[in-house]
Amino acid sequence: MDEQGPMMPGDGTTKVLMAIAVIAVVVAAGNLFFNFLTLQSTGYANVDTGQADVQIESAINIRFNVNSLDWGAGFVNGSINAVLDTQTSPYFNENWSFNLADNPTTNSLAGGLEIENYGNAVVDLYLNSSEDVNDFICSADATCTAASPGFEWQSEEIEDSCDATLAATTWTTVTSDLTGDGLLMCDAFDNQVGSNELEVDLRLTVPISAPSGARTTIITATAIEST
Amino acid sequence: MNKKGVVILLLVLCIGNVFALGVSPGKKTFNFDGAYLEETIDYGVRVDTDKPIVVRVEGDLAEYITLSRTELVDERFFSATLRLPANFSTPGQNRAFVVVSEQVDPERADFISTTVTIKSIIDVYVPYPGRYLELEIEGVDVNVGEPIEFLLDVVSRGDEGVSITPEIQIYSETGKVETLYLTSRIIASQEEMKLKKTLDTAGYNPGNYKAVAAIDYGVLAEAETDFRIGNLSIAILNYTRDLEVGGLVPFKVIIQSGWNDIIDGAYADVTILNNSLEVASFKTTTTSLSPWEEKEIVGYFDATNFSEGNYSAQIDVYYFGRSAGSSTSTTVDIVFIAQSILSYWYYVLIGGIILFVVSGIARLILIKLYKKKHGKKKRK
Repeated sequence: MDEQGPMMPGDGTTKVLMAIAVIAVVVAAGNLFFNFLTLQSTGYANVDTGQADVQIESAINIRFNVNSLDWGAGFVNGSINAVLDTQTSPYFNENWSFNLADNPTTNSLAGGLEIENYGNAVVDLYLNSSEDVNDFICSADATCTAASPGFEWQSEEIEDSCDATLAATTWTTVTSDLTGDGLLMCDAFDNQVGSNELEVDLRLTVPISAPSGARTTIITATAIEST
Repeated sequence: MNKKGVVILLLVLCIGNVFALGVSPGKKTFNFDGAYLEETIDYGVRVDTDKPIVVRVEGDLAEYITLSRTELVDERFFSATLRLPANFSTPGQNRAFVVVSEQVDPERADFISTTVTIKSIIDVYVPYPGRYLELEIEGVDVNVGEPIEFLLDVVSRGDEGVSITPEIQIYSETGKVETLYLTSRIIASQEEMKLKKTLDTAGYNPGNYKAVAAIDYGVLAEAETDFRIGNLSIAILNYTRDLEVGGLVPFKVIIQSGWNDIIDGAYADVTILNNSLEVASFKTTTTSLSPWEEKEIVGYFDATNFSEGNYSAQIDVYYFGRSAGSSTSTTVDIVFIAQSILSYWYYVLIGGIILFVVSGIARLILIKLYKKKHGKKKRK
C-alpha cells in the first residue's frame, strides 16, 4: 500500500509557504531575544524616571437635583389660611383646593429642594429669595400681610453633609436679602459622594385675603469655597 | 364659583428652571510685595443650560480686576486680570469675588425659580509692617500605640523674615504631658512653610488630648487642636432608669465607642437583680459602631411578675474589634413603678378597637346568614 496519499494540486506551493513561515518565526524569535538582551544590558527600563507637574485647581459645582415641585393651580376654599408644604403628604391642608383638571402629581413634592455639591471643594452655601413673604404671598396687600402669611424653609442634611453649622433646622421665614447672599445655610457643605446633598423643604401659608394671580420668586443658592 | 369663596388662584404653583453651575478655580491667592502686580486667571465654567451666564466682580479689589467677558453665551471660558498698583497699601487679606451666575429671564413666570451663583475668591495678601506669623495645626485621632503626625502650617504675613523654633505641647485632661520640639529655621516674608512632627503614643493612656503649637518670635503665635487616643472599649453612657411593672418592657442602653476603628457585634447581656437574686435576664439588639460613635441598643423582658420598688441591673456589654473581643460591665440601680394611667387608657383603647372590629364582623356575618335564610323562603 502506498504510504503517501495522492498528489494534490498546489502541494509544491504549500511547502514553499511553510518554509517561509518557519523562517519568519525563527527571525522574529531571534529579534525578540536580541531586544531582551539589549534592554537588560542598558538597564533602560529599570532606571527610567519622569516628572509630571500637575496642579489640580478647586472646582465649585452646585446643582438643584429636584426638577419639579408641582402643587398645581388652586385656591383657598375657606376662611382659614391654607398651608402647602413639601414635607407631609398630601402636601396641602384641607383649606386648599386645587383644580381637578390640573391635579398635580404630589409625589414630586416629597423632600422639597435638593441641592448637591458635586465639585471637589467644601463650600459655604447661602440661600436667598428675591421676594420676602409679604411680597411673595400677598403682593404687599395690607389686609393679607396682616393675616399671617407664611413663606418658610427648613433644612435637613443628608448623611452629615454639613460639616459645620446647619441653619434653619426648624421652619424659618425665608430670607430675602437684597444686598447680600442671604442665609448662610451651611458653612461647610461637604463634597464627598454620599454626603454632599442638602434638602430644603418649603412651607407656604396663604391667607384668604391673598390677592389672586400668579406669584414669582427666585431662590438662589450661592456657593463660596470654604476657607 | 365656590360659595366659600375663591380668594386666590395661583396659576402656576411649581418650582422649575432647575440649574447646575460649576466654576474653576474656586479660589486663587497672591502675595503682594510692594511692586506692581499683574496676574491673569483663566476660569472654566460648567453649565447645563443654554441660557446666558453673567460674570461680574465684587469685593475690596473689584476696581483692580477686569474681565475678558461679562456675559457667556456659547463660550465656557473667560479670564480675570488683576492689576494692583505699587502704591496699594492695605495690609492683610484683601479679597474680591468673581461672581458667575445664570442670567435671570425677566419674562419667566415660574412660581418659584431656582438658580445657582458661584463666587470664586481672589485673595491678595499685603504684608504687615515688621514680623507677623499665622499658625495652624492639624492632628487626627488614633488608637493607643499608633503614631500621630501633626501638621503645622506657618505663614509669614509680615514684611520681615522670622527665625522660628516651633514646639508642640501635648496636654491630657489632667495637665501637660510633654513638649515636641521642631528644628529652628528662618521663614522669609510671605513664605508659607508646612512642617510635620510625629508623636509616639506608646505609654499614653486612652483619652482626650490637646496639642498646642506655639512659636515665640517676640510675639507668641499659638494654635491648638483636640485629638483622641482610643482603645478597644465601649462606655455605657446611659440606660433606662424607670421601668413600668407589667407586660413586655423595653430596656435601653446608650453606648459609645472609645476606639478609633470599627467595633462589631456589640450587644449587652442584662440581668435584673432583686437583693442580689436574679429575677430576669435578656440580651439587647446587636450593633456595630463606627469610630467613637454613640448608639442605643435595646432589649425586652417580661415584667408581669415584678412589683414596684428598687432593683439593680447588671449590664455586660460584649464587642469585637480587629478580631479581638472585649467587654464592659457595670451594675446600676433601677426602679420599677406602677403602670401609668396613660398606659391603662392605651390598653382600653386597643381593647375597644378590637371589640368594635370583632362585633362589626359578627354583625355582618349574622346579616348575611339572615338574608340567605329569608331569601330562600321567599323563593319558595
